[in-house]
Amino acid sequence: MFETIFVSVWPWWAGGVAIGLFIFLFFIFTGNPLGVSTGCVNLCKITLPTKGLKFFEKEAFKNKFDWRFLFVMGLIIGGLLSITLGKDLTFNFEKGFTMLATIFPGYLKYVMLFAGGILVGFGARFAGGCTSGHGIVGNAQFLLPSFISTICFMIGGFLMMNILFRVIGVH
Amino acid sequence: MNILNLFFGILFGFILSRVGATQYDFIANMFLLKNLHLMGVIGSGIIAGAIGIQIIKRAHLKTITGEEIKITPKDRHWGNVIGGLIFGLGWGVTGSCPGTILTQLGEGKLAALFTLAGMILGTYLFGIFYPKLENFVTPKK
Repeated sequence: MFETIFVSVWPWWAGGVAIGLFIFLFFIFTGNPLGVSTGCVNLCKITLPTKGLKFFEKEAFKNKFDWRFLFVMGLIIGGLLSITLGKDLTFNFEKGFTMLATIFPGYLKYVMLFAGGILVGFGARFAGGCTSGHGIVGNAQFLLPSFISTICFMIGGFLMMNILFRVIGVH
Repeated sequence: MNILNLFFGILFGFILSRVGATQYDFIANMFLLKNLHLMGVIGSGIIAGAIGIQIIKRAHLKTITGEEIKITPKDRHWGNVIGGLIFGLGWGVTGSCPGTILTQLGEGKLAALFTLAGMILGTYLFGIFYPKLENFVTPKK
């Protein structure tokens, strides 16, 4: 039982039920729809000079240490909790991203992650949400903009991964 | 009530980690159509989420403190398409989305620091170019 929950990857349907239940509880307890990428605005305001930029002056982003900041910090702790209970408590730069490292060895991997990260951050704000806000919560509300965004997320991801692993990475 | 959000963040990070959403190879193999596990997670998550949202709407549920639940629509604009494609390309390179980048850090995958730095810079760049892009993200009637 411990092994199933804390060590191995959950079956897809169990993951879906957990996420669905999570969205419900999040609404009931906080009154807000789940969304992660708006939390990036908080991180931006904390780390970079955003004064005078119209976008960051929006009312919704007024308090950079609001609930979104706490939620985002929680995500980090959640990952830590997962590897602690799963007895995989290691921290290093080689962990994860093994497939990416096969095409982009050494420092190239970090360059790609950084460049891709820029696209993720920029695209999420441009689209008005990310995989959680549009992809799950928006679609669960049957919102057309979320459906359109999600299809575009998928097209972009499909194109890029297939270019990386079927064109560039063919050995 | 604010500290509750920290708890929910921890719970969501834990779920993302346990369903395999934070694993690059899972995302890559989903897009290479070799392993559709995460497609199943997202699909069943949407269905389960939709059931919950319908319950909230039809039973006119309030939060536990009796406040209004904000089930708000999202804006439809050209950013959904253009921004969506840009996001997707980034998702394809990094195998990560905003939620999983932060969770990966907690999982000890320190390379995610680069993804995080990129994501913060990307958000910043959007803020800088916002006056030029504003027309694209103005809701369409």
